[in-house]
Amino acid sequence: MIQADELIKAGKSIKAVDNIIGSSITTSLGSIVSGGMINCENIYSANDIEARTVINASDIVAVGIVTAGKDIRCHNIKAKKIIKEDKIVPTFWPNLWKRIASKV
Amino acid sequence: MTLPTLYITAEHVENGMYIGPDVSNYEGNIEIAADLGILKFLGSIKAKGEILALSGTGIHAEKNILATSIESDLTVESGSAITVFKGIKVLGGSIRAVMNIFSDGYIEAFEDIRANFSIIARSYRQSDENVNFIKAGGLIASAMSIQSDGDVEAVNSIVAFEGIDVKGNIKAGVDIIVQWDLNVGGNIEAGRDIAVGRNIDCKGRIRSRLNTKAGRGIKAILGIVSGGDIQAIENINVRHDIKAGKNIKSGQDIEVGFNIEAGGDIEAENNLTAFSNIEVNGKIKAGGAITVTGYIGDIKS
Repeated sequence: MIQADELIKAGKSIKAVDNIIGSSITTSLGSIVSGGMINCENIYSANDIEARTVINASDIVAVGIVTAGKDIRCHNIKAKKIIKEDKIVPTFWPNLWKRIASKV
Repeated sequence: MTLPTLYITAEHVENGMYIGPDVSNYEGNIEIAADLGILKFLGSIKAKGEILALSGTGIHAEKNILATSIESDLTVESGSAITVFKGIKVLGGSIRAVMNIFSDGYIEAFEDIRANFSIIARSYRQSDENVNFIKAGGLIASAMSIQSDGDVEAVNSIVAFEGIDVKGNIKAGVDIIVQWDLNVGGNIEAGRDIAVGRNIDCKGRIRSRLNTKAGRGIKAILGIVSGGDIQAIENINVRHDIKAGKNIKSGQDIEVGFNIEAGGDIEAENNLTAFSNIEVNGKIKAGGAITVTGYIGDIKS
């Protein structure tokens, strides 16, 4: 698990076997890969975003592909390709990631 | 000018007690004959030159021991302080003092070096002749501080109830335990734990087979490698890599110049910053931001 109360920022990729939780997650070069869920206010990836279960976020921006094993709950999403597009749940709930993170 | 030498032989000894001429302020060298056991002096033993105790002989003084240098086969003990200007070497026993052990050069013992006050090997005369170090085949223990302008090395533990200030390296076969600060100009190495009550400030590398723990912060220029936990109540600041077999925990920030690697969790109450990669086998948790120039990843992934 990777958890921060504030920003998670990496020059290359961010990979976790479990959940990734933070206010913002940013990569400048690589992908964001989670073996569990990704809970975050803003997610920016210079490459792909991949979560085995759900992605909870306000804004998601990926230069590459966004993949989720289950739902993608978000307000805005922008990506080259979205896998599980049928399961995008439009959500506008400020601090959603925090509410969910507290239950994790 | 050659100094005269006083030869102490068996005829100056009665029941293990020295009964010869006054040696409380001898203007020359003192040589004590072999096989006299640990010879007791009721007062001080002070020599302008060297004190040499031959094979099978040691020195026990009720008061101070002072000389240019001391070399003894058996234990050297003082009821007060031991002061030498060149060095003290005990080939087959310990060095013990109720007050300070002070050397302008070296302090070396086959067994323990113990003082109720400080153990100091420091060149106050700024002379290039003297080589400063403290070396023990057993324990180095001080109820106050340990100070050296050179290295400090013990086969057993190094313990100080106040601080340790070493300009060279410090190496212990077992633990390094300090109640106050541990300031080291070179590397720190322990066969087991490094436990410090306040700060660890190391200009070299910190290495411990088990844990490295500080009651306040840890600063290490060339990195930290520990087989167990690395833990600080305040900041952990390292210019090179930090590697722990188990967890890395900080009550404030963790800032690392290159990689962070942990066999367990990495936890910082505030920010976690690495100017290269973070690799972990457990959780990564930060109360503030996690900033990494390279990648963040689980070793398992």
